[in-house]
Amino acid sequence: MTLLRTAPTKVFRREIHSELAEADLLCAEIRELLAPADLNEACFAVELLAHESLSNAVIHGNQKSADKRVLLELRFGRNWIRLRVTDEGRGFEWRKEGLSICDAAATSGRGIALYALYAGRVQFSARGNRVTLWISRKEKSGKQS
Amino acid sequence: MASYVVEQKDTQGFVRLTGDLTAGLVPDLQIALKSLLDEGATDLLFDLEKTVMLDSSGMGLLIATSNSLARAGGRMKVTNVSPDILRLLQCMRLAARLNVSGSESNRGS
Repeated sequence: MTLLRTAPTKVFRREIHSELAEADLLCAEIRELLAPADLNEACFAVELLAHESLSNAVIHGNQKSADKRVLLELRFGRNWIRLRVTDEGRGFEWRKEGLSICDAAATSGRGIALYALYAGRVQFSARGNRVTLWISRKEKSGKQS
Repeated sequence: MASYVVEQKDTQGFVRLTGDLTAGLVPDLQIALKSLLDEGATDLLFDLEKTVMLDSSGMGLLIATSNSLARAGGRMKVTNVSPDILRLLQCMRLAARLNVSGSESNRGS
């Protein structure tokens, strides 16, 4: 019996400063939260997407500004885990971003492609300062392309 | 605290990660790798046995290092990766480029 199974609508919320070290600590907390939940491959997907969305929020969204915060919310449904990350930045033109995998020699630009690979559904707010990702609790994550 | 150990013997460099390779570690490790390459390392082995998570920043660092070594006529290998990270690198079409091999316990499975 696990907490997540007995409370399928459980919500986990945390707010951090715009620092990558705090993002890493939060992801470690998420790993501990998910470990007993018997989610198999979904654990890796949730943690990976948390890393990506928090890094994007800290670096690109809030531009590491000390007075801006990042809010993370995990909501556990029966079939899906919903990850939502919100920053206080100006947002970005997500409609112009491609979801495809970039050239293998490129040293950046893979974050959005990882959303598409590991989340069943990806949604940005109109402004682009909030991303919501749905990860299946059952299906294998990391679609082979 | 650094989550890696770097060693060098002649042109051979060894980087053993003792934790995850994610955005928080990249700036620090980047400096250590540059120093390693500046001191003549042309063949680099990354051991990811203790690494559970690799994000896009970590991938970027591995690719940048691979690119630098290729320009210098060297090469690099990433070994002992977990099944999750191996699948991730395969999905991102990076496994061959980074010369990746799985962990000992997963070989042959």
